[in-house]
Amino acid sequence: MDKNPVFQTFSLTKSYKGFKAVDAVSMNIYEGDVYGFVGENGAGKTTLIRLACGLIHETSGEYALFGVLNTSKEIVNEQKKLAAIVESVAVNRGMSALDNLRLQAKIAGIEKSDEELNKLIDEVGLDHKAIEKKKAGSFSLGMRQRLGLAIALLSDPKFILLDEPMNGLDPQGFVDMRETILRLNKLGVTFLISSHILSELDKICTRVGFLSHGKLLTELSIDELHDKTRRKISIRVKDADDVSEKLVKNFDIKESKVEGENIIIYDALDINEVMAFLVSKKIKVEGISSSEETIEDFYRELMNGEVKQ
Amino acid sequence: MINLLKADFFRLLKHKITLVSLIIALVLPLVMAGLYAALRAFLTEIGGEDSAEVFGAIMNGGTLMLSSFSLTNNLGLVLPVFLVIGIMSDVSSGTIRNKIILGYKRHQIFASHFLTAFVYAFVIMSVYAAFSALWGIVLLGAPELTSEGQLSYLYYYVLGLLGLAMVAALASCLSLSTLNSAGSIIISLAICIVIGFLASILSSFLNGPDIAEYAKHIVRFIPSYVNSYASVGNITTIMFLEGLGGILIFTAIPYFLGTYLFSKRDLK
Repeated sequence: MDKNPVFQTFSLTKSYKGFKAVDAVSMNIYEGDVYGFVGENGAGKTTLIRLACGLIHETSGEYALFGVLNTSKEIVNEQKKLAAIVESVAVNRGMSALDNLRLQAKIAGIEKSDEELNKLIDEVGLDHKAIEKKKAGSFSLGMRQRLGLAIALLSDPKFILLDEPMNGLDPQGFVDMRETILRLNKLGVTFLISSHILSELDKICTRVGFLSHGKLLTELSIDELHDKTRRKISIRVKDADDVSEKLVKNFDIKESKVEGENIIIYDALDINEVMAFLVSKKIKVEGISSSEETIEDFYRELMNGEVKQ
Repeated sequence: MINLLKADFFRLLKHKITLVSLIIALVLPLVMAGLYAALRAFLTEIGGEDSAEVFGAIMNGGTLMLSSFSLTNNLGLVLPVFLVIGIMSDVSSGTIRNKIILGYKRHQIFASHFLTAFVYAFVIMSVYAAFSALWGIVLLGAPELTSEGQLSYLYYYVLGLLGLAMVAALASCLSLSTLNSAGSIIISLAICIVIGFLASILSSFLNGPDIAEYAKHIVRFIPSYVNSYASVGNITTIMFLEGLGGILIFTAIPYFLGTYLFSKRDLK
């Protein structure tokens, strides 16, 4: 890999009273990646993001930001290139959107005019004139997400960590968030995004990591993931085991399985050819269908340990 | 660090408690002076001029100002509540996370909260004390001050203001080590009340000639003891220095303990 590492973990572990929320995770995120984190509730996605942000202390292991280990004093300089929205958006509800950005500018030590801040508010899809007099507490969840994104973008970060960024967004918000991520990514910003919405991750991610029970099950590039989520044919017959053997032999099928009366073939076979073969063998077909496996299917199978890594 | 201070002052200025506490600091002295003036008028009516004179010697602009820094009295009693609310607004809104994400160390964040809380308390209490003196003098009359008495007032004023550092350190320590508003308010109030009452009771008992000198010196290290003594007699320079030492010790303990506990703390 020629790209520079932006975020690396080395057997990173976080335990709470013996429970391992993150269990010896070693991963790499490279410059230009939009890295998607997938996992069930409690898989350790948010904990890992919190560790990366320095919000919580690791139990063991290390991590590096832009090649600098968290144990080094130099990590402070690298953290300035970081921005994150972790779980709930860090927005002061008693302040207006503009005041929230002014506050963040002071924390970051950045001089920005109100005009520049208002422009940023507009860029994330909030109309600064319409919300001028409103406190952030009166914003909808989606509006607060957008404001949180504006706060995150204020210091021109090189690495942005987003924990469930699509939460609370309306369909237009989905599109806006996706476009913002892709636009910034083109400008060289690296992303780590956790989400339950796999179809959205599929549209924006370059790499995906699957977490379960604190462990990183597998990391795939989006192309590798697409390879895995391939076409399959399901056939319902009486003697599934026997028919499956015949099909595998005739079509030289590499991967298939039998579930009760169902034969599932993972191959780009022509369904008409399969049907013709079954008819020629006088096999009574009760049902046949062809479908693409979705990422959701792949994820479910991975979580159930059905996918060979 | 300077960026953190700027941000914390900005956040506090925008918070409702600043306006609320300023209104209290401006209005409460008038209410208190008005109540005492009404009481004096009532005593004059039932006991004649002698009663009013006795009352005037006990309660005037000077004594009203002296009571303004008490931790168990009026604004002093609610000050820890305001401080905890101010500090915890950073935690509850999550903006404290933005500081850590940007690479600030927890000890810097703690120091910024402590300094902001101290300056806030300093300003509010200064306003409160100044207006207590003003309305006290207008409605109750000015105290008769000797040059020794003037120095005592100055010592009192300095100790009263610096004593707020202890309250600020305590509020910062409890807020940032527990990250719990209600618990921090209750515990900080309890500690301030206990210290205030202890100081008040001891100042009444430990003045007699039969009390050992070393005991008098030791108790002066209890924060607000020396200030409580101001209602009994003048504060001497040695008492002032001992009171100052007590403030430093009782500020340093929660400050360093709070910094240590916060540095170990995970943030959600």
